Amino acid sequence: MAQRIVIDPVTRIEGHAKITIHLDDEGQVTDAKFHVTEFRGFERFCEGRPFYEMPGITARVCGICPVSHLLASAKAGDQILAVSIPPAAEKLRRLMNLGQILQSHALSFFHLSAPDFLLGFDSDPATRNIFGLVAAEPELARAGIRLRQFGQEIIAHLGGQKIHPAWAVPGGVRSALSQESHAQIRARIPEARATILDTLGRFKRMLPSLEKEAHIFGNFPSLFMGLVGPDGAWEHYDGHLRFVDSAGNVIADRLEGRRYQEFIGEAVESHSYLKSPFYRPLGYPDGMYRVGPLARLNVCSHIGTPLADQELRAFRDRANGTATSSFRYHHARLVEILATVEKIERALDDPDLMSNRLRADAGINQLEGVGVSEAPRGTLFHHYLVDEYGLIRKVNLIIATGQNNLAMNRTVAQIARHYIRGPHIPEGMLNRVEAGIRAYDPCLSCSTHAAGAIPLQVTLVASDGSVLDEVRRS
Amino acid sequence: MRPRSILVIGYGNDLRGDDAAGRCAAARVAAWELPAVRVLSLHQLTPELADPLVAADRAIFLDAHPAGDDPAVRVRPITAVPRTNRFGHSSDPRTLLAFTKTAFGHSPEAWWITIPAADFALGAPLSRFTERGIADALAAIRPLLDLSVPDTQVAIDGMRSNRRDTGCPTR
Repeated sequence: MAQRIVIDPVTRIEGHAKITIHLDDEGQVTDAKFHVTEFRGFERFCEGRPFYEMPGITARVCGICPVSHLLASAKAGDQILAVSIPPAAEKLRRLMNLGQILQSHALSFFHLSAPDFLLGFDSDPATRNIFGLVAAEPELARAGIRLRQFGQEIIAHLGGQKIHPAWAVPGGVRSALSQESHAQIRARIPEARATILDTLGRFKRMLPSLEKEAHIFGNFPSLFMGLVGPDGAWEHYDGHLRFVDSAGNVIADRLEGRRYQEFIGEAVESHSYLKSPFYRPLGYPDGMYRVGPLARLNVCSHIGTPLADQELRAFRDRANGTATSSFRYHHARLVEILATVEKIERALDDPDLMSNRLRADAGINQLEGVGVSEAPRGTLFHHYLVDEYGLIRKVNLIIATGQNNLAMNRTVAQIARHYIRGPHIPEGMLNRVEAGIRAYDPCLSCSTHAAGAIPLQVTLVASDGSVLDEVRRS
Repeated sequence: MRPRSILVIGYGNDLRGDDAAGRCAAARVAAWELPAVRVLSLHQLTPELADPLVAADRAIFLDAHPAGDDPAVRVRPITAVPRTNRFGHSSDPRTLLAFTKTAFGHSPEAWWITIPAADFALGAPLSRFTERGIADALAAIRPLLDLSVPDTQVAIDGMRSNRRDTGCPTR
């Protein structure tokens, strides 16, 4: 009898989702889907709001990613004002984004994913979490806590609070970096660098034992997209967009973010509130592409800081060139943490950072603005259309996690086909399916804003119409 | 023994009416500017708080609870016993204490003060009912701070409930 297995909820991710796996009569996986079961709706209820409120409003999409929305929204506002923000304001925004990437990646690795690596995919689910990790590896757990805290403190030093800082605004930023904060941030760098180097070393030593997962967890060809600098360097705040393929060939380059609709389309599927962006020239769904740490390391030519560039070379050696396995997101995240630590240190040496010239004032000079930046999980687009008074007429948000939707679905199906043979499904196998999603570090609260076609409701129905077995997690 | 350092953590959603009670109470403690008392005002309890907690001799957690459960301020000593194995939007300081103890080998003595909350509506200011609860909580916290804050200071804070400079939304 055909079966449908439901994993609900998916654990150790941000947000709410479920996975359904369909088995045929022989217990073989025929299909698997990743469903996002929450709907946020910011694209609709922001209509009519003043554009200058949007950073504060959209920052509340998520408690982990507020800075990402703050910055992309402020950049969209910069375009509506038609201003070039002061150099110090850009440098401070960049510093905050580096802190954001650092703290978010630390959360993903140490809190959400490390339990699988360090305790084992088949370990007791009751302890396969941050609590189990801290009991088994207290020193690593403590270091991870303090590393994340460092990133959060950078955000708090600049924006006044760690979550939802009301700091970046259209035209610039609200406040400068104090001398005291500058010194406190600098004082934390040696410890942060030591922690990430130690963690990278540990992870690389573990990799030989994780090659099976690397081979199966979302290992398939796709395009990759991310921001790069004028010389192809790793970027996180500005620059232009680049697409590369699985062989590392540059498919499209020097794409302007504000013209994203020319090369990115958005599809809606009935089984999820998550939109499915795709690369227009290849159509849907062939135009699947991935964003985020894996993509950023694939599209850039170099990072531009010595230790991170060294680790980038090691990352590429391990992947034999362009990394196509989504499992390698974890490794990419660690390389990016190192990059942020080095770039934060370098930024602190720039005297411009202490300037009080932080804001450009202007009126409504353009009726459209597109802000693009790299959130920890990938490229983020905030697109606003306003009226002559600056009131929002239309909002489109393209979120990193949404851009990985097609790839996440394919990853779930790939892992399920490899590991699941009905009728008995060991818990560790289901955990691997979840771990495939966790590799992308999805932020589902951020990414569900389009009007969904259906309300989501779980029903278990066999091919003959009878009720199926169901697997649940608490 | 008199604690050398005290950490006060007020947490809750300041966009949801009386759920801000813990943060409002924390803001008022912060305004006392007491030496050796560090005050944090947060959205929720997270693992990163283990770091400042382990450095404190005493911790006081301030939060709201539905008034229907109990119309009075609750003041409870708590221990490091995990209630769940996850950190989420619903925060239990006992879990955080247990995490701190596991990570660092010890955790501070701790109290959990919760203030009765009547209205959790989105965007609502603090209700007068919860404002009175905050005043009661501040009176209860004084002996836990083990410091001589004059009664008049607490009374003044109660009278400030309608002023904007407390940082809490009021009717």
